[in-house]
Amino acid sequence: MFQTFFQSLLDVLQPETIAIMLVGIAIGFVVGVLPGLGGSVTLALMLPFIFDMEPVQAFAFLLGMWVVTATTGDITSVLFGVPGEATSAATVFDGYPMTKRGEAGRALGAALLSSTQGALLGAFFLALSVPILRPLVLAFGPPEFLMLTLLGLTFVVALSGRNVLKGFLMAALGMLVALVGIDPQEGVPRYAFGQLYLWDGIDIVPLVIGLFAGAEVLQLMLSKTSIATRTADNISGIRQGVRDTFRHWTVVVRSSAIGIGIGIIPGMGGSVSQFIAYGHAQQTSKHPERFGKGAVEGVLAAGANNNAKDAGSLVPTIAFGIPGSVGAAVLLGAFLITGLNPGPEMLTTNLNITFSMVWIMVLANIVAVAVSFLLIRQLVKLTLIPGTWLVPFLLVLLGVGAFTASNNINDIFVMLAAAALGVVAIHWDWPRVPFLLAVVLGGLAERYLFLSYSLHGWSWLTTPSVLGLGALIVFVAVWPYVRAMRRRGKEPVPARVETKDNDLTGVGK
Amino acid sequence: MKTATATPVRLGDVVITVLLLAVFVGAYLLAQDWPFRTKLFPGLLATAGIGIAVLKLGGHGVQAYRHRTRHSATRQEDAGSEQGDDHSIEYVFGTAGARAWLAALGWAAAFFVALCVLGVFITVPLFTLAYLKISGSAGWLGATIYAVVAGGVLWFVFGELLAVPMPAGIF
Amino acid sequence: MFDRKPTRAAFSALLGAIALMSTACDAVGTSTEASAGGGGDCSMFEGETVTLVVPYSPGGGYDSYARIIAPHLGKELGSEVVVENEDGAGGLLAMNNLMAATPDGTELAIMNGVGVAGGALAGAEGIRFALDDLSMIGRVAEQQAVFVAGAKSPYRTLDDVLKADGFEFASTGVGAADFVNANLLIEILDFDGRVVTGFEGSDESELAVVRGDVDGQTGDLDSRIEAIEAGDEHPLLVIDTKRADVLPDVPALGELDLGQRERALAESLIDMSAFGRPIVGPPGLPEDRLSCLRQALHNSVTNPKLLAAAKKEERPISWLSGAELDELVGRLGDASAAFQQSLRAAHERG
Repeated sequence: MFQTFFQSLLDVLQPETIAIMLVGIAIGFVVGVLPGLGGSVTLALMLPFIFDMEPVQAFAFLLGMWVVTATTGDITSVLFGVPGEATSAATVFDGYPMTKRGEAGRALGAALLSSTQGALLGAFFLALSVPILRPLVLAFGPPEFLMLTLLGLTFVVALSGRNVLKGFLMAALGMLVALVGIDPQEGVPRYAFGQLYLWDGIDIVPLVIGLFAGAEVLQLMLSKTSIATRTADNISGIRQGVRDTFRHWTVVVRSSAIGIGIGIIPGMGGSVSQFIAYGHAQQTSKHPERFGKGAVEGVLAAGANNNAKDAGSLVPTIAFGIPGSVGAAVLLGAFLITGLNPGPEMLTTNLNITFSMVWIMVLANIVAVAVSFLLIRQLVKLTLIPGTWLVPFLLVLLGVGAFTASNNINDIFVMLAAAALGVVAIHWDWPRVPFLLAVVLGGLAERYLFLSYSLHGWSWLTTPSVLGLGALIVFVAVWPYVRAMRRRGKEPVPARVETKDNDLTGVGK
Repeated sequence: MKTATATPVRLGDVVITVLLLAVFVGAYLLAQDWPFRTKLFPGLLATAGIGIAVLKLGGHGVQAYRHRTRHSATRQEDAGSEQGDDHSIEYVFGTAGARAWLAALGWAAAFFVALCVLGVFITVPLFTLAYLKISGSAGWLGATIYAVVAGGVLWFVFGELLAVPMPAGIF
Repeated sequence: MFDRKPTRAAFSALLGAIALMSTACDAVGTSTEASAGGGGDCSMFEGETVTLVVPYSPGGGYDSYARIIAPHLGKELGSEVVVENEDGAGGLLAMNNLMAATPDGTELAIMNGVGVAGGALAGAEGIRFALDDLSMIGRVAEQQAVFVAGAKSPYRTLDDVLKADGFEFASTGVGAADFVNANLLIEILDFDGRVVTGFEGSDESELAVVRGDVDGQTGDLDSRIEAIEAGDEHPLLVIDTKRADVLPDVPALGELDLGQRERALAESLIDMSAFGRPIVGPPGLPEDRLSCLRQALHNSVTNPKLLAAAKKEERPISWLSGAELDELVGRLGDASAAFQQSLRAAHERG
């Protein structure tokens, strides 16, 4: 197996394959940066190009393109507050505040390097799990998925910060939004008000764009200043961002693990895990109050997560031909075109191709991040452009970015409504992230609860894996208090209320 | 300063909570016509939402009472939550005048209405030119170049090269 | 706006560096040369942009077929055919929007025949048109449905299922094809079965079957065949008049010994499956445009290049002309009251 593993590296390193991969990376780079272009749509557009390629070349092209979109999508999130890809939404939460503080270089450095680290961890996991790929996918079912969803929901407390009740109310509102659409049990439309557009529920992308970017663009229109009034020294900023990924390496590793785990689950969808990773980062942080105001850990969690999840979503695709995300669904077409059968063959006769996918993910990310690092200094200057000159450009990003959700004009109305909610939430200090987390997880919680019950009655409640996850939920929910008590025992810690937001002084040095 | 409860109640919070309460009550009532499995989750959720909203309103009541009895609240707490930096979004939203708001919202509305009616390829150059000239007081040359380049690049890359679906207007 | 150069550089590098792209470019090139194919006069489409709507997100069968066909159809029409994904309401959003489109043939859609036909017959909420309103251009693929059991279930043959004590089907939701098929199979074959809904998509339901959470499901043969060949699922029954070429040992619904009422139900079910994946236009397409589109689509799907591409993606083409589809619509409209009753009951049962 080791021989195959390294042999497959040589397969990827063929000059022609590398050339094809570079083309894929270049396309993926642009697609990731532009909010109007989604990774999966572009993959579909590019499928015809692989007709005459060898399997490894085809994956070098498509997989290279796809994994890069997750990396470069973060760039737009950090610079303009508009996610370049649906999977880069959570990078906005802290990446954009850092940019406004003049720390775009540091935020980009952290986002990009953590993306690479996430991709490496994901690829490493994929390679390691080859012998157990199939049992791994089959190990978890709806009851475990439900517990994971509940685990994610416990982060609402941490995400709410000082205003726990406000956070709960926003989360409840988010769950209500998640319930809009055809109910999965009886097929009855809920809260759709006769609008077919609402039948499939409300997409997360227009919500994130409106809640965050919409409000920010309005601010630019009001203040007419540039996004950042100053930028810290870029090179040292980037260097600090890089150092941050190592300083907070546990956040990177755990967020990657969350990405891999949730990526494996087909029904969870590509944009869920970033919110859970972000919530977990805030929950476990020593300074949760800094989140949303430019905490680098938030950027790291989102960055590492959205790359690692690609590896996760490939697991069921390779093992069973069941794609773990929309992007993986298009990649499945590539399997068929190149004459590959997903399933056991990928782990025996075509094992070299599976391993080559691992290498492609690693190499494509390294190339993309290296190129990005060269561009950071130029990109950061964009944040100093006067606001009035940016506004038309940003409004296009808002409109076009929202429109990609379902190519429907109603996407834009949802975005505008979310922008209004965002302005209100900012002005009156209501937390926005619990709302988004609940939108993403609310529907899943209901669906998995009913599925678990329909499939197993109540007996699933006592299975070891469910009990184990339940214990984890309790631990995660209680841990911050335990830690706070232990710290209080050791040293006098100022009361939580007095922890001011402006003790962000350490940043930017 | 020592306790957060001594701060004055912000009217906006009360209004938002009442609005949310109304949303949850509405959601609960709408759910009543549905089959059991369809309404179970929304019903529980709306009930929880109503409960939290009432709790929050109750909290506001207590807060208002304490504030009145102590007279010790300072405005500092409020200032503390907003960074002194005039760049922060909270500050801008809080201090912008009515005219500035009206202008900003008007421009945004104009953009999105045009987007829906005229489609992206006409709206972008038109809006760019108008916005830069009127709101940004840019020079004709710069504004025109920006408008033409923005419209052209958008049209070429999204419309022609990639044929990505774009808001096309009602024509 | 830094987007222009990299894309173009990407494309030129793509074209320059790799010699073997020529055929692929041919397949996706947006050549505007006039139609070489005979038949209907298509001058009215020359230079136009035709949108082919896929009512689902990218990836999956409908998307693949649309993307295979689009460039060839474009060549036949002398226009550019653009594929757009418009996901929503389980595919119904796009169909309802198509109803409101200008009937000039510049907006077409590939339709989930079974789902829409089943819903229309059952009078499902959300289908705001009658099936015979649509302008049928041609069916590009049949959707031979197959009934499978997971390898972890105790069922190996149809006989096992008939003796079953509570066979569980996975379904993606009320009104989906897998839901309609499963409910009608239970009724036609009269066995103890029930349908578990609530799976997010066919990916999740398939995983549940492979895991053994449920016993089986019905699904498209061409998307099931991988799992069958891998041994993760056992084929039990093909929902068609005759056996499938790839599964010669699996019985077909049409060959079973059934009572009169059950036979009528089975025939309607097979008719409905025969709807497959048609390409349709809005109501009231003018005769000349409709006949041009029908001819152009026929020319496209008989083009050896398209067939080779379709074969490569394992998306077999199975043509049925617009006229034949119209006939099928008529037949389904007249389908036995028992059939419509069962459909409606299935929709309401949930």
